[in-house]
Amino acid sequence: MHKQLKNHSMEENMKKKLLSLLLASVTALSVAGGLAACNNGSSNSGNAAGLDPSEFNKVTHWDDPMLDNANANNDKVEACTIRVWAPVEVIPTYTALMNEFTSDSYHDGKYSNVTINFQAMEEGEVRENLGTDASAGADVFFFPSDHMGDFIKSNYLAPLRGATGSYYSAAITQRDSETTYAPAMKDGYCYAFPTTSDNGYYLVYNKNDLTETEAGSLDTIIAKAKTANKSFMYRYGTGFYAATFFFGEGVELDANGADSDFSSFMSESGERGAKAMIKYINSGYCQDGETPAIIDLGANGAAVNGIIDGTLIAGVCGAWEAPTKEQQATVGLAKLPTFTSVDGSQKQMGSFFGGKYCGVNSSSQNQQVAMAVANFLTNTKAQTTRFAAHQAGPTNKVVSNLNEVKENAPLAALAAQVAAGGVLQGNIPGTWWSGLETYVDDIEAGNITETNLGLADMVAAMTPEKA
Amino acid sequence: MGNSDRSATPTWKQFNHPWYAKLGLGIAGYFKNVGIMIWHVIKSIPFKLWALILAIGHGFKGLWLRFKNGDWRTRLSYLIMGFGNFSRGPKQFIVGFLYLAVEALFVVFMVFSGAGYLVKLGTLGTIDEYFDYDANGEWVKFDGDNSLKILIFSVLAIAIIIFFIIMYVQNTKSAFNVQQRVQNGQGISSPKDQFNNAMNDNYHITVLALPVLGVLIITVLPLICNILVAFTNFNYLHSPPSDRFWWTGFEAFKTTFQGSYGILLWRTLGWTLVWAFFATFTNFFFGMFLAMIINKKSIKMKVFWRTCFVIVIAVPDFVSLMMMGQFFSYSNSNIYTGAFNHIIIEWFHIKTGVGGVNWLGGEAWVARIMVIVINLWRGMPFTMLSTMGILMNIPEDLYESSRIDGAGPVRRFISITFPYIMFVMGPQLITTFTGNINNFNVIFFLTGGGPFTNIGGVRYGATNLLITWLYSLTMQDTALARYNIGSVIGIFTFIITAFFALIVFNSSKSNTQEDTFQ
Repeated sequence: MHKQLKNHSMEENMKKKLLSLLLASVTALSVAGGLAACNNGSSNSGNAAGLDPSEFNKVTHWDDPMLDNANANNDKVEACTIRVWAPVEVIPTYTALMNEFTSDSYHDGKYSNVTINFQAMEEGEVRENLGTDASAGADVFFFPSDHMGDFIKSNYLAPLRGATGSYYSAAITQRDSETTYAPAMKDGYCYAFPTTSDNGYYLVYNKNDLTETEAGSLDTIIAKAKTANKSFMYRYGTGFYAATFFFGEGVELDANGADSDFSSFMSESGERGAKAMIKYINSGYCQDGETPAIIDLGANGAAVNGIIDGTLIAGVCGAWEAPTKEQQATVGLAKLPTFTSVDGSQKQMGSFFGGKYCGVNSSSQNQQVAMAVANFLTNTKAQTTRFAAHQAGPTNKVVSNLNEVKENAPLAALAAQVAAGGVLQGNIPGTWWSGLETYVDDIEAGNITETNLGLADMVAAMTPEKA
Repeated sequence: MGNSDRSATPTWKQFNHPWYAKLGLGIAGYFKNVGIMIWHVIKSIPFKLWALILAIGHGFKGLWLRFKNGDWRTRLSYLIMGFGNFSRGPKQFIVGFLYLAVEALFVVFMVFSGAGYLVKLGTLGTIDEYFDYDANGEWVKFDGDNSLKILIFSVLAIAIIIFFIIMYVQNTKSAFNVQQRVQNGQGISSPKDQFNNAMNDNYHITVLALPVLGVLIITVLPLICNILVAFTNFNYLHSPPSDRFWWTGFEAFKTTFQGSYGILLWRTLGWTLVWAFFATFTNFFFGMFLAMIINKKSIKMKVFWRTCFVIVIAVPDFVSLMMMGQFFSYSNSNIYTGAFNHIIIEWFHIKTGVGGVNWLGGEAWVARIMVIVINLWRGMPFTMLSTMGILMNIPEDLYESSRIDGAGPVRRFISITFPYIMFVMGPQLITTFTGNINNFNVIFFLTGGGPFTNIGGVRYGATNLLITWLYSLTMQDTALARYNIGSVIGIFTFIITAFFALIVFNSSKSNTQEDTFQ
């Protein structure tokens, strides 16, 4: 544990130079960004005591919107403890940020009485822990985009409206890109601070076996794989990846928790997607008769490792298992390839994308301080710091435009894929995943064939019961 | 010693049926007995109910008689509990004030908590959690009615009310008792007498009160709450605190027993019983044969062999099953497939397709046989161990005399060894069968309920038992939990296990009555 922390601080020292460089450019850019980013406030009917949404445009201090809040005074905040659930790897980075937040120099020590208590918690586990007893949960927590709908429905999130929160809503709509804050919007107000936007997947390929153009076509990849006796790694058995052909054929995903409607999978495009899926899953074997042309490997980092040890020609790689700088000498990165639809045309393989958000617990006893903490952990500077330390994809428009971010190969590949065929991973009910995964099981078992697509059964299994 | 009278007892043996008919008749007779027993239980319900009503009436009559015949102190203790005790001097202070404390605590509980929940029990709450502006103009969350809390605390409150009524009646009895002793000129019991009484005449109550209370709080109350959930619409759409649920009668039962869920329920039940049968009897027979082999005189290093198998018991289920799951895993590539497939391909050159056989996630029947076989390997040592003890206890002279009579090894097994083992292990066999109906670990860690297929729009796992299915419905995806349907399946499983528990009860009784091997 100690060793790990030490390693982290050493890493930080090494990155200090880069960081200061980045921060300098942020300051320079933020002026321009501040001027450019406005008129983003959503309009909504007025409300009793809080700010009118039209006030959004008046927020100018978009990294610290409370400077605009006439009601906010600079009196010291009473002593309190704010608990923060964050993934273990970012805690050292965030601890440094919070030391600044509680220092005497920040707002004349407004938050110097506040104690920040970090607790390690993976984003994906937050839902289960809040489900047990939300009032015992942390004041501030980080969670993945696909849990957003449940969190809003279950009232876990303190909405950023009312006298204080609306300023944050206004700032978020100005500083973050719309694709990242849109999932958190409801009734014209934001419910969580966009934190990172880097969940998704893209193609990795062996530069010695494939050229960049060849990596653009799934058929070429498979043909090349068959002659080289190597596999193409694709986790078609997992719901997160399995819908790629459906999305590629243009099937719309209408996911809204219990109210989801997946009948679009029964359309003509759905049938084409299913047929493409059946065709590619049954791609057969390479020349040696033993190497599968497409293989599904669960282990983390399987795609990159397989390319380096020579068993794979290419693979679909998750953003969290990206190749390192050294590995990128062999491993090329690109958007997912196109596949041949049953109508003969080339279609782009689709993919999910999502991100992480920072929420304030609606049961928190110190919501205003918690919101200030959450804002400080997700504003321009925080995202710059997190990118420098962990290569986390930013949601912030200014940080996204930094050259260092643009030149980051994994983030660039992800951005290219999102632009080409990205589908927002919204509030997808659990039945959707299991229904799709079972469909793939049925294809593998031979229960589902081109003549017996069984899409109605799949959609029924995907759709949650309404009672 | 004589097992000759054992063969004389069952009437069907007098007829010269072939062995399979005897076996069939035996099993039929057995279930007939169980059926008769269940019928007796059901038949007695109205009488038991009538007896309960009579007892309650009797209690009220006593309550009234004690009030009529009581003096003012006794009558006042109908209002102030314990008054009849503590007003009669320091000797009765402890008892009296304990009664008073019970009353005070009861009133405090009902006023501050119990009554508030009980009032809402009929609707399970009317207000959802909501957001609104508070005094400072902040948009904050306000609490609604939490249906789950209302349900749990109402059940608790009812339990406490029943306890209070019992204490209340006891209080009047105690007050009247003291009054009578004073009137008859007998001495009032001192704390020392009361202590002695608790340690002698009422010893059973003193000793067993705490365990019974523990069982009530830890098992019975949650069970009642669980059963009640089956009559609500408590699922992901109605889950507190953000949303309420309410009573929906038998709706959840209809959903579970009809349509797609119904098909799956009967299929899953079928497999559960098949699994329980094979898991129990393969373990039993193979364990028994193993014990007999090791127990043979000609086998050397008995301790070593026994230790080998006992080690399996020492390894936690979780670890060994996860390892077996890995061992039999499958991938469509020779490189990435599991260890067992590697072995059959690389060492024995058996080719059943690239990557070998998908043992646990492919064909349903393969996966089903695999879980039974792996369970055999895991559970056999338990039977072996207990059988070993029984074998050592079989008197050697039985075997000797049978040898003199010219009996071969098969005849000796059928006539001596097996009846002896069955006599001891029979009831346990049915307990194991009930345990296997709920054998969560083996299925969950090996196949996770799979291989899966979509049947009529519901996901069906070919090796799912009722219990693992219940788990996946309620726990695996908390965002889509169907607690009410889970509760119905829980009740259903309970009825099935209760049926087999009754068989155990029946058989153990008949065995003790037969008393043949003593």
